[in-house]
Amino acid sequence: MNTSIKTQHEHGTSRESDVIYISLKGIQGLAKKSLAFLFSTQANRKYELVDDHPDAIFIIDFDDFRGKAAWDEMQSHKQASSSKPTILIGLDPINEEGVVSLQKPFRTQDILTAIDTLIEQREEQAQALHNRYPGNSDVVSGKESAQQHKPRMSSSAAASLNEKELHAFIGSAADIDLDDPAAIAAVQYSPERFLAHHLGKMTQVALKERKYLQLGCCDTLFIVDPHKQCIHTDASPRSQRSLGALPMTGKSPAYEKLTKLPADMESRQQCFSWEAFIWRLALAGARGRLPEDTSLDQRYVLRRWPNLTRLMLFPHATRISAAWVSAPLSLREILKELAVPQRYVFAFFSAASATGLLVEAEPASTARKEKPSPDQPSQRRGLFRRLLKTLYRKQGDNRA
Amino acid sequence: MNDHKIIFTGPVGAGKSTAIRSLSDVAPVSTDELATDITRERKEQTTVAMDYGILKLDGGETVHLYGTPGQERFNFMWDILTQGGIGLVLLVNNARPAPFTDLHFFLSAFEKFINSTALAIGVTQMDKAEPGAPTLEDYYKELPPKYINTPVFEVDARQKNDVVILVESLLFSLDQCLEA
Repeated sequence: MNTSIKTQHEHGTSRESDVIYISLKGIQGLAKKSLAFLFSTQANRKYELVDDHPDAIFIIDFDDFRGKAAWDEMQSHKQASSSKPTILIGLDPINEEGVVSLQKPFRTQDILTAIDTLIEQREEQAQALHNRYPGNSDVVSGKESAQQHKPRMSSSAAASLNEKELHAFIGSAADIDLDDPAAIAAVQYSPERFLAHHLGKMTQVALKERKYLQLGCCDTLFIVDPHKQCIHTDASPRSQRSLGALPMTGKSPAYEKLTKLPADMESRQQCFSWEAFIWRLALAGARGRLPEDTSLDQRYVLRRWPNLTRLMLFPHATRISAAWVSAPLSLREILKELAVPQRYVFAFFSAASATGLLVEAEPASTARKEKPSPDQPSQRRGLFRRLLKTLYRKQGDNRA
Repeated sequence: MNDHKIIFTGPVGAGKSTAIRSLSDVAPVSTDELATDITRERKEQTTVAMDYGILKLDGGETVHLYGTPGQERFNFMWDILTQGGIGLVLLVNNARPAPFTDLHFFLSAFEKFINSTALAIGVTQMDKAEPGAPTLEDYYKELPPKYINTPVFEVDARQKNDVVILVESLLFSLDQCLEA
C-alpha cells in the first residue's frame, strides 16, 4: 500500500515535479511512521512514500531481513538498478559503493541531507547527459541548463544566505541556558565526523609545508594546492553542502602527499578558494552547533579577519569578526557582549575554527587594541547605526 | 545638520572611482582627465582632483564619499580631505608590480588619520595578478603591528556587495558594540 504524504510547497504551490518519491525497504512499524511524520513536517519539500516509482529514492534498513533481501535483489539486477539512488542505514558502518550510507543512530537532518545529496547527484547526471546530447530537451530542464552554463569560478562574490539556506547552514535552534550542561551537550557535534574538519587540518599542513596534499572521501577527491591557495576537486558547487553536511561513516580519511598536481585535475581548472570551501562545508556540518568539548570559558581570538567578501555570509558575521579580532573573548563573553542569537556565534565559531582562523588565545596576549567600554558608547554610534541600515538596504538591493 | 565623510584612497587603477560609483546614491562626480604620463599605460583616464559620491541616510543625513586622486602629485589635498572623516578605505591593486610599496606609501601618508579613526583594506585585481602575487595572508604579514586588527578583503570594486562589506567592517572596527 502506498502511503502518501503531501505537504504544501514553501510558497503554497505544489507542482507535481517537486514531489520527492521515497521507497522504504525493511522499514516498518514505528520507524516507518516516524519517517512519514518527518517528511510531512518539511515545509519546503513535498515527499511521497511509494512502494516503487521510476524516480524513487530508496531507503533500505540493512539490519532488517526484508531490507537486506531488497538490497540483494537490487544487486542481482545491478545493470538495471545501478542508477537507483539509495540510502543504506545500519548499526554497523556500511561500505557499499555508489550509495549513501548512514550509521544508526543518526539525526533526522542527516537523512534529509542524504536525500538532498542523491537528488543533486541525479540532477548532475541529468546535466551530464544533457551535455552529451544537448538537443534532447527531455533530459534536462531549461533552468538547469542555464545553471550549467554559469562559469565555475574559483573565487566568487560573497553569498548572503536566503531564508531557506539559513536554515540549512545555520539551523534554527533557540538559545540555550549556558549553565545547563545537558542543554550545551544538545547543541554540540563531533567535527571529526565531518569532512570540513579533515580538509581544514590537511589544508593547514599543505599551506605550511608548501606541498600538494590529497584526500579522498565520499567518492570525491580533494587536492590542496598551496601555490594557488585553493582546493582542486570535481565536486560541483551544488553538491558541496551535502558533502559538508553528511556525517562520515567508517575510518577517518587519511591524506597523502603528491609531488605534483595530477594533469586531469589541472586541466579541469576547477579550484575553489580553500577558505571559502572549508567555511561552507563547516557551516553545513555544524548547522549552528558547537564542536563537542568546546569550553565556553576558554578565550579565543581571530588570527585575522575571514575574507568575508568571498565567504558564505550570514547575519552578524561581520560584527562577530570585529569582536573576535580585536580582543581575546570566550564564547560566554562574546555572547553576552553582542547579544545575538547563539546559533550565529556557534556557526561562526565552527567555520572559523575549521579554517584555522580562530585559535585559542595565549594567556599573555594583551597586545590587542582595547575595545571602548560599553558604558562609554561611541559618540557616533547613532550615525553608524543609520549608516549600517543604509548599507544593509544596499546589500538587499544587490541581491534582488 | 551634520554631514560626514568616508575617504577612499589607493594607487592608480585600484578601483576608487568604481567603488564610489558602486555605493553612491547619486551619479558620482568624477574629475577624470586623459592621462598624459605613465598612468596612461594603466588606464586612459585618471582622477586628477577627486571622486565624490553620496550615501543618503534615513532622516536626511548624508555621508560623503571622497576618493583621493591616484596620482601622488596631488597629495597636497589629502590633509584637507580627511578632516572630520569617519574612516579610511584603502584599495590596493594586487596586479601592480609592487603592491606592498603602495600599501606602505598610503599607510604612511594617512597615518595620522588612521590613528584617530579606522582603516579597511580592499585588495583588488587578485584574480588578474601573476602567479606568486601576494595573498591576503601576505598582506597581513606586511601590515605594521599597530594595524594587525585591520580588515583586509579581496574586493571587486564593481560589486556593490564587496564595497558594502568593506565599509561595514570599517564601522564595526570603530565600534564593536554597534548594533544594526
